[in-house]
Amino acid sequence: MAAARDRLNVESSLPSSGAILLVEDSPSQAAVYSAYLGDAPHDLLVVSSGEEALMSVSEGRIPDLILLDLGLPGMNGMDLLRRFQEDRLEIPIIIITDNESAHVAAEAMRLGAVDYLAKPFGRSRLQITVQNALERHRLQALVRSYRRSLDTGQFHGMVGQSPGMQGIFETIRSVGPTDAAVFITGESGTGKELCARAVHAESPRREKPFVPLNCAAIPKHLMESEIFGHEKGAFTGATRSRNGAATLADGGSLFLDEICDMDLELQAKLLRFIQAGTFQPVGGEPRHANIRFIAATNKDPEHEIAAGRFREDLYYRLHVVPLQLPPLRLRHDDALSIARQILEQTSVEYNKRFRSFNERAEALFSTYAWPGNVRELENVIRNIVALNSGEVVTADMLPAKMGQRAADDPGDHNSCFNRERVGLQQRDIEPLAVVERKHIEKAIAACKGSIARAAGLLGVNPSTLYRKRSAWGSQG
Amino acid sequence: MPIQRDNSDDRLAAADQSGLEGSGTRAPEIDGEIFNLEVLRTLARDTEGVPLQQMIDVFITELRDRTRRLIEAATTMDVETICRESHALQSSAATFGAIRAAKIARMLNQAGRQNEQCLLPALVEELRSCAEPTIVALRGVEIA
Repeated sequence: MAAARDRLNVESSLPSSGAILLVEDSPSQAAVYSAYLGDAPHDLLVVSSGEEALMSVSEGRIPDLILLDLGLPGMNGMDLLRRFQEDRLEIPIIIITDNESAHVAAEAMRLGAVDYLAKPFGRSRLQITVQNALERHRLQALVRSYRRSLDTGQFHGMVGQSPGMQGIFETIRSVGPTDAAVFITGESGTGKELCARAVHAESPRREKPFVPLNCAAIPKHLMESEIFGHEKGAFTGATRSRNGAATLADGGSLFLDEICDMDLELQAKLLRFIQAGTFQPVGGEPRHANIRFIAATNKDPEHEIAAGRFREDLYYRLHVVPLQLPPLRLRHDDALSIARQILEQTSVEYNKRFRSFNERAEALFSTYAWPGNVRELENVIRNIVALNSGEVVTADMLPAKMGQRAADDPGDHNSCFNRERVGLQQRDIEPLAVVERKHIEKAIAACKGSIARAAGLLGVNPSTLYRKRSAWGSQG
Repeated sequence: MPIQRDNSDDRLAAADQSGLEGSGTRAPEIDGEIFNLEVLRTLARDTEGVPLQQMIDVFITELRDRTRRLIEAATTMDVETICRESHALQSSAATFGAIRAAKIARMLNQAGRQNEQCLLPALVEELRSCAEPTIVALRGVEIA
């Protein structure tokens, strides 16, 4: 009875899965160990030699754990351990040895084995040893993953070593595996969609679709069809049936960006969909979909509710786990990390050689307020890389707005710059009109005279550039 | 796990006749029971879900194969094979409660490692003699 109870305890705490490679040349011992592990949730592959084990691993069947009998014919267990150590194979290996080989077990542990089983051993001993090794391996992998993410400040494409962003990453790690709705708020350009994608990537739905839908970008009369789809002939112009985002996201995640801009009538339909899990395509029959909802807005949702533009009941349906993304001005230390990453990516993309920023440029990146947040930062870097050459980004390559605002009233706390931190010298200051003209001319030259291309990169209308050039021409 | 049945008994006898006759040195005294039922009972409990007889069949095949290889190795004084086979047999026999076979295999392994070659033929003969009663006993086992 006690044995049965112990067995139950062992089984209830076994990891949910694990592929185990058993290397054992004795058919009867292999049969016994297989039976010991038989009712645990493991995939077991049995091979009878070191050579077979090597072949199995080299063919890509990488197990989560190896049970290795040391007394193998041909390539023995020690040889195999050495080989795995040379190949830096990060798989926990438990060796199986006899009671008289304590020194052999010690040598095997020195070669990287994580534990050993001394023959004879029973089922509980095997299961507990396997369970411990798998759990330790899982935790080590988790720690490595966290350490990597902390070292680089990266998390599913998001960059941030600041406490605020680390808190966001931690919340995403916690909420990701659940089906809870997530409501993301943050200023424009803070990376709300990237955040939503991170939630999806951390969820068991990660292999299923992530479907983003910008509720502000689609005309109201088309929005219902965008979300729920429509049947052929449902309305004028519906020449064929079309699946909406709800169908496309079935089994995955639906990201509703700018949710506060959704039409009120459609908000009611969305609420019914969230509550019942069923929706009705325009002109069609009700359908079921299993969806995880992630919503985002750059507005204050409670203000929108008070103004009657956003349904309170929908808000509370979606606002299960709130995530508020901090603006870049509140995480200055991250700005430079993000800038470096974007510089590296953009240089490759544009076939340029930029590697770093000089000290002054770094200071500007760290102190500028970035009202457009990460999107603005990305645009600035793309602009610099497109219009300049070299390996180091210097301060004079930065957009005029960054330099000029530094020259604004130093006591103005709303200024985009903190003058003291930048250390801008008065002799460096040029009139805005001069800086602007220089920059525009450099942009046009970099675009081989194409006004339209330069205007696109500068984020202005081509007519603006034509007008300015015309004015400069008249000035001489 | 496939269960193989062969004519190992005959081959064991033939190997015995050809290689181990007149080996001279006597094996040390090996006493005690052939197998321990309690070990098998524990094994049956631990391997619940897999028919015990199926695993016993696998062991019997292995016992025959290893005994045959040991007899062959003893005729050529292939000490390396004797050490390897006896070491493997020692563990599997102990797991199935074949304690006398396990004990002989252990002595064989020690003699091989200590290069006491004069003891090897007699110990292999002891194993051959022990194998068949062990198989008979295992076949007769009924675990409630």
